[in-house]
Amino acid sequence: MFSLKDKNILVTGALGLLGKEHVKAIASAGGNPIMLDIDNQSLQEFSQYVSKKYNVNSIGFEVDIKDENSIKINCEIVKSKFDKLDGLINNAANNPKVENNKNNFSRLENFPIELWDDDLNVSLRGSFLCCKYYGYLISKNPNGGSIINVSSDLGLIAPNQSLYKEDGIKEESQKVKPITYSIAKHGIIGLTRYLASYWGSNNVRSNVICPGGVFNGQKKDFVEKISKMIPMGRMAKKEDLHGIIVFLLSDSSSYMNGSIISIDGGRVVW
Amino acid sequence: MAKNRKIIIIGGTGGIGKEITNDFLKLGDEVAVVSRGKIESKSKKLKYFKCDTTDHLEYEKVANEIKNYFENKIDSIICLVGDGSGVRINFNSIDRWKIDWDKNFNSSFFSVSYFFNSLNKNSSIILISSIAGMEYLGAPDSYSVAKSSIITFTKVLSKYLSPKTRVNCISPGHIFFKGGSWEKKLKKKPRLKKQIIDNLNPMKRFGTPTDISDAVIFLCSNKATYINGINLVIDGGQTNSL
Repeated sequence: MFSLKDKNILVTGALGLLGKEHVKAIASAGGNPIMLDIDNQSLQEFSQYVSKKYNVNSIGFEVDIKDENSIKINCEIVKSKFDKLDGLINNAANNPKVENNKNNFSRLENFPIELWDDDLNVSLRGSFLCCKYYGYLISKNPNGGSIINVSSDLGLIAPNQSLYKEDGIKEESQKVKPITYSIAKHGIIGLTRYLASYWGSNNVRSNVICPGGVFNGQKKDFVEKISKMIPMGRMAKKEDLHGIIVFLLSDSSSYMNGSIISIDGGRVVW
Repeated sequence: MAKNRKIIIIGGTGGIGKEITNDFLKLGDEVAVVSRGKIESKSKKLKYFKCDTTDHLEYEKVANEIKNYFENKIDSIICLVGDGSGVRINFNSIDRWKIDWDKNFNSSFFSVSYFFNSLNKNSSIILISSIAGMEYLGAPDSYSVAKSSIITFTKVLSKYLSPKTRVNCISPGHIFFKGGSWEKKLKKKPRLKKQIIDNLNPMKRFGTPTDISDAVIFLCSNKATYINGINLVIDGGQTNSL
């Protein structure tokens, strides 16, 4: 139960905060992670570390998932190196930190269209292209496979902008969670439901996870405020997603398809 | 996975309940099964308690026996009691509505009421709803309404009992097993397979008790410690509602 032995699973955004955790979860269950990201040197270092530590066959590829041709070429390489593809995690996304925003460009009325394009291109265009090539490859696997799309609690609920408020700043100048984050994360859920009905008969299951905010050294004030909104009284730890990743990729969830799964300590119950 | 956890399975002798009971026993846990029917097992780790869980006075007595048996240290409660042979809304059949409500909702309500004070830290409750509680599928109305309430009850409990206890529910789709309701339905109307499964289910198959049991084992495990208040749908992609 919950084994990924001999399964080859591709992860996008593999060097990100959660991407690295997905890779470790796969490897710890005996699966072979195929990692995609845009920093080749870090990819090679991390894939070597994972292969050695977990005794699996991990590999990293520098691929810009916004670029169809790069994916097309890489898919042929994956096909030649692995006898089959069993899973795909569409994890890559821009997550502009509210705290880092300058000149209030996070506010809707100031939001640059270039940033809108880039955020949606990474999340939605990138996930679509990965499904078009790697997802299609999985659909040709006689044993089927599993696609996990990574949304967010903000794919289900509206952001609570009071979380980002700072004292002494006028309302119209307060920093906010950028609009593209909500749009992209809602879109990922739509993609999942489409895929579930599209490839279900090929035994390719598509499900979406909606993690709550992951603790990553945020300011104390923010952590205290958000923790009060979560029944379990804490933010997610990055390891909290390991279990659901392995469960959804494994044969233990072989009748789960089109499901939307919150991992948020109960934040979205109301 | 942890061993020797103390697990209570209410309605543990049906097709899905048997599978869950056996899976916990295989993991080395201690299981108390509450049911009207008996389960065959030679395991010393299984204790059977006969009870009609819709009778709250009888259930309260049996619950006290179980709490004593487990010394008030319970790790998980899984409540599976349910009966899909309910009725359509008919305002002249209020007595029958009450019977269905007792089976499909109150058995879970009573279970949580009697056991929640004896739950350990990091414990877990799993209630069983249904895809019929999520959207209109033509199931008996009394069943659908009660199963829908299970989803809301789960959310309420996940607020109240957190962080000591996580509470989640599972909504199975159409599950086939020998002696189950789908075996009987297909004997009478074989065309239902084409109508419901082939035409409406993207995976074009029934679910199995194993599909549900694996999810129960996962949600009760230390691999799901941040999952709280969810309705886990296991239906091959059949439902359309959010």
